Amino acid sequence: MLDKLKTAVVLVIIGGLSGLLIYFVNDLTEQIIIDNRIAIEEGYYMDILGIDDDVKIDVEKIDLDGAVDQEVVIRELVSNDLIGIIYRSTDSNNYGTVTVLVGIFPDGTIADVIISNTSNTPTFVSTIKKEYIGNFKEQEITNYSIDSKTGATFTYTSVVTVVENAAAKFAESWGE
Amino acid sequence: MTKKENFLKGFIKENPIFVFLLGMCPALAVTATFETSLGMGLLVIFVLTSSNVAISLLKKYIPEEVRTPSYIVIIATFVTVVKMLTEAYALPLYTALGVFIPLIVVNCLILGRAEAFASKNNVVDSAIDGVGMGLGFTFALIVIGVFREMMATGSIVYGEYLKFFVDAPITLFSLDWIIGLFTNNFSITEISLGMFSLPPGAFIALAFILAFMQFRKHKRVQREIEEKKRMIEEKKKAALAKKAAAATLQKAGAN
Repeated sequence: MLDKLKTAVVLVIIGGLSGLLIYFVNDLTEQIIIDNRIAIEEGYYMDILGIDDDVKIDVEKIDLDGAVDQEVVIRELVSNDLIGIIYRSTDSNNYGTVTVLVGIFPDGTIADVIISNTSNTPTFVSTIKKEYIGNFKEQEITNYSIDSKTGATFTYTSVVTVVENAAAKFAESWGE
Repeated sequence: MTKKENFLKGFIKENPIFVFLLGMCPALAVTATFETSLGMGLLVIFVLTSSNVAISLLKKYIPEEVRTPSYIVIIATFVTVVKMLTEAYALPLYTALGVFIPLIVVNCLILGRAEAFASKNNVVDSAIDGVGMGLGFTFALIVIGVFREMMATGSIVYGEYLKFFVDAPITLFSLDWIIGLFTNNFSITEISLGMFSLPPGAFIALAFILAFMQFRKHKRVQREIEEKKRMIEEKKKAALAKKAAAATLQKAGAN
């Protein structure tokens, strides 16, 4: 009995020390990691909407409550013309989370769909990125078709869910 | 074993990859370039040394029956730490190595050193073993990485993933420099073998390197056998000469 108690105490101490170390390192790196992820996402904005590097843009981020996490309105800095809207949303599935950016031009055409961050199996994500996600491009947000068989059901279902949510939000905010 | 021998054993004599074939997953997966090989090597040195030190410190208190799970928790802690630090301070490397950073947890080399060395030795020796073995592992990764990158692109580039000490990627070495000494109308990229940057290239590169190591080892063993044979022959000759001299002396005494 005493031996088992000793084992349990040792394991608790090891677990506690591990937790403390991870807590301190997380405290040290959390903000930098968040900033890095934001920087990566902002890099995607130009790619999604096909904006040339020499074009100066104004980025307005609006945090949302509901199915879509964030709406990003991209305008040309000089003329203030609307270039496009990007919806950012995270969906959870059995393999973890998938964060997707959906870019939509003002006329309602899907500019591009990008998986910006995911904890899903890399091979499946790679398949979706290479073969299926590009099919959303240039389709109407109000009337788009999806591939029903992908071989990476969970990841693709998450992507489709995010696109559906983005479509609903776009219709609500910019529909008419 | 002296401290120097403990430190140096991981480079050639007990090299984790070339001799024990441990940690083959990263050796095949992340050695497409010199830089990713170096990056993975540095992360493994950190995890291996830290876990060796921690396990050596705690070895007296860890009950025998939960030894392995405890070691795994300790190793996983350091891998989590290294993952967070890489994502914060070396993002391109983090992106390039991807899932292979968390997979350091299941690297046989790290658990192997914890079981075979750190759990039986003091903190200083365990730290030296961790650094030495880690450097040996890094050395092996770099050999494979350099071989593959040279075959695939004809040059070695630094600064794309590890941005320490440089602002932009620089070419450390290019075969074009050597070729340029003889002709101006040829570039190595024209005959580079792109396959070496892909998974099959990893197996082929490792096969070439292991074959070379085995060839060297075979030569050395053969040389040692020859040397032994020669010494035995010499001893035999000396013994015969001694016997003959003794017989001559005995004969002369009898006369």
